[in-house]
Amino acid sequence: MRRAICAVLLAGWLLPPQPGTPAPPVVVVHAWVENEQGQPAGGLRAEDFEIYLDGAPVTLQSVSPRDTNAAVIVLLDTSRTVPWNGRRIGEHIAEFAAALAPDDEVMVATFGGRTEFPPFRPASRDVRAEVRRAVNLRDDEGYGASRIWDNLHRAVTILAQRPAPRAVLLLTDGQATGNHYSLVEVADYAMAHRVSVNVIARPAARRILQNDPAAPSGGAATRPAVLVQPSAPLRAVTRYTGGQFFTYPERQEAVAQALFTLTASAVRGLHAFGFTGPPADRGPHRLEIRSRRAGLKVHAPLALVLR
Amino acid sequence: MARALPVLAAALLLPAAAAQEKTVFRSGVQAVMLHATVRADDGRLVPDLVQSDFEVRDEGRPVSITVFSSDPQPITVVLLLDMSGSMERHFLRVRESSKHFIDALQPGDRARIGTFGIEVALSPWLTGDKRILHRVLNEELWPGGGTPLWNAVYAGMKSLDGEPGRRVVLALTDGRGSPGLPGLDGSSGKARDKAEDDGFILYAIGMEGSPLDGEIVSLAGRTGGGHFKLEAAADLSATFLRVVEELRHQYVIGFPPPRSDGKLHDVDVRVKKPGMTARARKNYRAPRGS
Repeated sequence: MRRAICAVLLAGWLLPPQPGTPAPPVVVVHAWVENEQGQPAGGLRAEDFEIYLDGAPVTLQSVSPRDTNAAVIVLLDTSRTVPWNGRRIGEHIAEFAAALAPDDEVMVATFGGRTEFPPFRPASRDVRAEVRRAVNLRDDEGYGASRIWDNLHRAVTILAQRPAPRAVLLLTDGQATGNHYSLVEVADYAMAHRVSVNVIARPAARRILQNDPAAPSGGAATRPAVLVQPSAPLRAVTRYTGGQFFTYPERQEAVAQALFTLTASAVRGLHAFGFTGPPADRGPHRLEIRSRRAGLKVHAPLALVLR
Repeated sequence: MARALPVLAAALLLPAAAAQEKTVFRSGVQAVMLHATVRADDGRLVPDLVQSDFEVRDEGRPVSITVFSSDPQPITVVLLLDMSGSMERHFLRVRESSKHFIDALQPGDRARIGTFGIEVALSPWLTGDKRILHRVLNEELWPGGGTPLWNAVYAGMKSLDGEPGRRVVLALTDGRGSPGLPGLDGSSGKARDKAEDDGFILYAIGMEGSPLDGEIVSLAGRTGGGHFKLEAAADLSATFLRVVEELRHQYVIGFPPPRSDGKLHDVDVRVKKPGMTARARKNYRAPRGS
């Protein structure tokens, strides 16, 4: 909120309103910028970027490192289709939290086995023990529906009460079942509340051969294959909301840890992009932030709602 | 034309009957409700019978039919799709045929989609909104795991607790159920008790492969539903549509329970005309007298 107020004041200084003309609203969007090494870039200036709303250029007023605490929910799918190693995932999440800014707040929420959304705590707190508890299910837990979208919706609802920036790290296999909300509804909901959804997904994609009743008693060659790819919707949500998507590398603990740390670094390295927007109409608008500097890649939401 | 002329009692009693499928017990208005499918010997559905064409026996004794309708009744159905590993080769066929089933629903019908495999998952949506049902089929089918058939059937029935009208569970599977999943309710016995006590209609469709579980075949028959076995090249969509068509043309028959003893009563629905066979639930739980 402080960032937004600063941006409004800055805009007022840059463009003093004419008498009788309301000052153009300043919109603040958080995004992170990746350098050529795949790490969050620093030293960014407004003139390094151009910004488009619904395809039309708008005036970028400021680009600065975020100066507010981030609120982050780590959303861990503990259903039986996602066989986490309790010790390992506990380490990963702990390292993720440790790589956030010290004053950021983290909630480690679970669903699938037990659904728990505990209070936010400082990122500096050690979460290993509670993650291990969440993952080590009783024998009779975790065989129900995998309500990925409903729980992501719940996480966004909680985050919407917090000042920006807001982020989710969703750890799942993407095999969503039993949801009230659809993928599209949740993606739009996260976008509207400017929550970036980041995903580290257990690989679950498979190509399966299909019996083809029309085929003349054919073998496999006559059968069409279907690619079952639960990660596809997860990728779509992350891209739409300006988050990151990674596939969890099985049996490569160090690589996995690096992905968690990189995701945290991206949240830590979020920048506030303040620009002059059209009047707030509460409607969705297509957003694009382009880099003018070679080697920089902007990870920003693809749309936003002007409030 | 008889279909357009339900007896006055049906018009008066059906709303109450629809509110409680199992039995309707009100002062002066008590009826056990049955839904009967009638087929001619050549297999075609017979939709144009009248009340006097039917005979109902309770524990072998004739009873008076007090509620009758041949009007199409709304369908409330849980569609349970086997997503076990052995069903993988049918995945596309199952998903697309299920969409045809959804498309065949009429205004007033409602469906819920559930899957069973590595988990038992029921959609929270019990709706006639085909857009939502298609979305569930597109987004929430994931193959893999065993065949916890009875967990799923029981969960499907439980999910319709309190829903008015005719309640149907339609299970599509490729064989015998595997042991139930830990922590989930439901065995074949428990599912049977619930189906009989609460008047569910159960249909089972068996994909080619191992034969359908004998218990589900038996239970489907006792509930007035049915079972279908698909051969290798059979059209699954057509089988789904056959179920919808059956449900669309069921007769509603109600009679006052002769005894309020709280026991399971055998009940038998027959058509007096030759060359036709009625199929309805085989028993009901009588109310316990006050």
